[in-house]
Amino acid sequence: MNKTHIATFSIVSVIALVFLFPFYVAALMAFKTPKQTFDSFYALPSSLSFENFSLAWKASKYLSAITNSLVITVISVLLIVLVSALAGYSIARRNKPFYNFVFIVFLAGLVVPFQITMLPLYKMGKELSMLNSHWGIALIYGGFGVQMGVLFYAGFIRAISREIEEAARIDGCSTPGIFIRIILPLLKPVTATVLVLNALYIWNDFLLPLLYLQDKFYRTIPLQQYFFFGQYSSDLNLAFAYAVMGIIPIVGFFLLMQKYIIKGIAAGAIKG
Amino acid sequence: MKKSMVLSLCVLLLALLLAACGSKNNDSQSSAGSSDPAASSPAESSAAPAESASEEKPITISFMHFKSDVTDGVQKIVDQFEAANPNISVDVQPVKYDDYYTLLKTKMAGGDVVDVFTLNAGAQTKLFVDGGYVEDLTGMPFLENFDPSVVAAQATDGKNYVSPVNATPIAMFYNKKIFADLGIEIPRTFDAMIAAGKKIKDAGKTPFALGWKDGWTLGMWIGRDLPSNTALVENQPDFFTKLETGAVKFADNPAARTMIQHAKQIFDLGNKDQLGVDYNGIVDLFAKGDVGMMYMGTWPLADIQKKNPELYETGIGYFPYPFSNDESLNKLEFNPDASLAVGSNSKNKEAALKFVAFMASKEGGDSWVKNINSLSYVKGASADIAPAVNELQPYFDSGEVYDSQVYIKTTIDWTNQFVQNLQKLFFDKATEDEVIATMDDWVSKNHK
Amino acid sequence: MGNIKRLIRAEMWYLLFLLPGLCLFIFAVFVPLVMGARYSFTSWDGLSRTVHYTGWDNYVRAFSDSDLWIVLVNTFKYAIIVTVLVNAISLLLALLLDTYLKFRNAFRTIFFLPGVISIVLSGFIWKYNYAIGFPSLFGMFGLDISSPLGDPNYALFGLILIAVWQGIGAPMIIYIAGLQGVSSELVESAKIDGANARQSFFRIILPLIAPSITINMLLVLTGSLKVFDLVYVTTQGGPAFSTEVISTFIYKSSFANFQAGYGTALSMIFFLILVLVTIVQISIFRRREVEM
Repeated sequence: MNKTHIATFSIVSVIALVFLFPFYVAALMAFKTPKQTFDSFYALPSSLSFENFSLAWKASKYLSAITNSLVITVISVLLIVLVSALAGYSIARRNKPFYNFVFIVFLAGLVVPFQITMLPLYKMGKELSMLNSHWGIALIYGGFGVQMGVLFYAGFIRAISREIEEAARIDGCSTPGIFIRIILPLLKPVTATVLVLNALYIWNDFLLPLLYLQDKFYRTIPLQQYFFFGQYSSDLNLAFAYAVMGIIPIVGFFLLMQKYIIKGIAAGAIKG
Repeated sequence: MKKSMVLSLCVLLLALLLAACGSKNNDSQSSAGSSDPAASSPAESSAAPAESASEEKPITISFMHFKSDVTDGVQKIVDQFEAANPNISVDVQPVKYDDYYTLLKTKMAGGDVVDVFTLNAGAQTKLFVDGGYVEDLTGMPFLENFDPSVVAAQATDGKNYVSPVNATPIAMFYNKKIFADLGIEIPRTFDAMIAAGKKIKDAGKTPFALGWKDGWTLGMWIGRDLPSNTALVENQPDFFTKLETGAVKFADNPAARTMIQHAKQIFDLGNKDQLGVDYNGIVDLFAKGDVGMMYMGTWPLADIQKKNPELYETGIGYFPYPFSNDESLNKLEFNPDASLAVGSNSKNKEAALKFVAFMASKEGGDSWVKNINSLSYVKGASADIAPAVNELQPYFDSGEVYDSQVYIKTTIDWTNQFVQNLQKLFFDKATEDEVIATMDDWVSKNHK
Repeated sequence: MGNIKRLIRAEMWYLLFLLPGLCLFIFAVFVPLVMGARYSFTSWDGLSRTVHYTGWDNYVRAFSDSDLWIVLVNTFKYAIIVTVLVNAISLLLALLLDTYLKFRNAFRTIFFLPGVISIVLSGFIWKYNYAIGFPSLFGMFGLDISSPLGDPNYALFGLILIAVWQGIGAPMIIYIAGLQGVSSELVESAKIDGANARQSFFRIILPLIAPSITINMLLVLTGSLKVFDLVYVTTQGGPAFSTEVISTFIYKSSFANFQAGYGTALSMIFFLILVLVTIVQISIFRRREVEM
């Protein structure tokens, strides 16, 4: 290890510590009682107590919330990946005005502020009885996510050489065949990116579930979190315990996917 | 030609998609229902009201409320109601106050049914009444459980759309030890209170715990100091009614200046970082015992009890906030908190009314006092909520109580705007005149 | 003849591929947008059942609303600083992590971690850090600090810090992906040709990751122009309007002030601004990509 490496390592370490500090505080809050927090903010709890966690578990229907979050996220993300990979392929390979126009429309859609669409979306959801169902909200997320998804897929597919495709076409391969056999296997890295970014967004989203999932049985994790924070003073430690419980699955998911992203991107880099 | 074909194709496909969405949803809903027996029973009951002639048929009503800081307490009251009415179950939806009206409005405008919900009597109620979303409760027998003056005070356009529930004094908590050590008498005028504050500051302690990071804490103070001074000192009780139509301006109201000067004086005697510490922060500060005074309703008491039981039992006093220098005017501010309304589109009105009636009964009233730590409007309900509150008993006994909120008859949300403009003043980014001019300008843009 | 048929069939497949995505988009974004646009021509209060059309009144009012300009300045100040900081820091971190470094996977995870939690949650954590955590931490060293969120001069920067803390992760991942697409042989051969680190960064790496920069700039800028949750859970636009941004302003007009019609008109204007910003940005980066 030479000097530059040590310098780099220490810079990165310091930044990392700064980044972790708020989590340390959250964990601290989660393990302490209100009385202990009140007495001293930074002191470590005298004993490692999981009482906040068990109380939060009981009071929050954690399992049902996490199931809802999971089901909604998985359905939405699969929908987004499928739909945007297809559309992204069309846009990338068809350099015609109509496709370019659609691409611009998708991009423009990215900037539509949620405030405009909030009330109409709710009205539509109500009329089409999409409220309080995993499918209903997943369709909306699909519509939101497809915009960014197309941007990623179109960009990625444009960078893939057309030669193999053209060779396959001469061999008599149809468009779906080319897509499934040639393009799809190459899309792993970008799919991982689209997957992770959308999963995070959907997992953490708050306002849409607040409108769409008002039935207790359909509440997601952030929604439950919100109800905890709503109880403003005395349950703050509980709220943080619940927050930590909400962080764990998504961090786990990210850790799992991280390996996959690196592998996929490395493979993609060699092929490209 | 080609363009229009593409367009019509899109519309066609959209229609197909919409139809497909609808059917998909029905599927998922029915399957979700069958897998979860708890979820299916309310769905069935609301889907088949025609069958529910027999009393045994279970009914579910929805109850949305903004007392989310005491979710558990409200749930206990609801449990009590459910135990007494086994065929009615209540789906409770607590929502944080800051978001409550937005959410309720969205639901109502979207055609959703909420059977029972909390409202603040006054401007907010009027808005929902005008929209036609609230059932008229005038003449309901359970309203007789309240003092007629209370029922009259919460009426909208002469009719009762809400049933009163609970009330809270909003006054000054003080630290008895600090007051005793420094020989401070309970101040009965504003100037005396500021003098007391200066004494506390000179002694190295914090005079006022402000917590003005949260908009509502400062807003709560403005929304009481200003109408009190306007109506009682300056004798303009209809100021806010006229403000709505633009007949008057803040510039015409000397009380606006008084309030701004009061705010500045209190700010200068506040805790460090007045706009950076929130409500929780000042409750902590006050509970630690380093702060002289805190302007608040009864809600932090339960928290203080947990954090510093000793202080809670013997160390805290409570006195009416002296908004003026005229002792005879400075009565105790006593405000309604939540009131209950029944949705006009409710399909289970009978059950909803039963629920409201329970909340208005002696049993319900006592339950509010016990579980929520707030005072009930129900006649004869217990009033023993905390030692500090007992200090206010003389004011209740002699009737030296008033409600400044009755003077605010406007749906223009001027308080939040005033909060922001006062914050400018605190940091010398605006003068008194500029604040008033900006406020008048803003109000003029928001006339109905 | 058969040739044309095949061509049509091929074209049909592409159209068919496009359709599901387009339909979802129309359903979730376009139709609500049109409905929303309709409200912007009314004096709807958001609650009453009747709606009155008032033509362009709301728009005329918006352009004479002095508050709108203050709010726009705040919004752009926030968004530009966040975009620059987030991109600079995430690119720097991506470069550091792309070199040989011990525990680099662990570091990558750490920098991404803040982006994993919800804004409701991070806003809460930071509010507490600013108000109690940092003052008591710095108090140990004898420094007397108070929450930036309580001072109109610093509140916006307090928010920017939170946004940067939370916003690094995703752009960093995209930059890392971009950097891994840069072949190390190219950089090595440049080194052999005598290029120093700075030259190889500006001449070779930067042009090659230009698509990543475009995407990141675009996402971070539009994302931060639309900032709502963060302001809503931490400062609610205060103190003294110093953190009032366009989204919270729209929200307040629509809901707190019961002017849903005016609120949607404001959001339509906001939408136009966003479209303009995006078009300008894309054209700038497209041109640069070509030049490079």
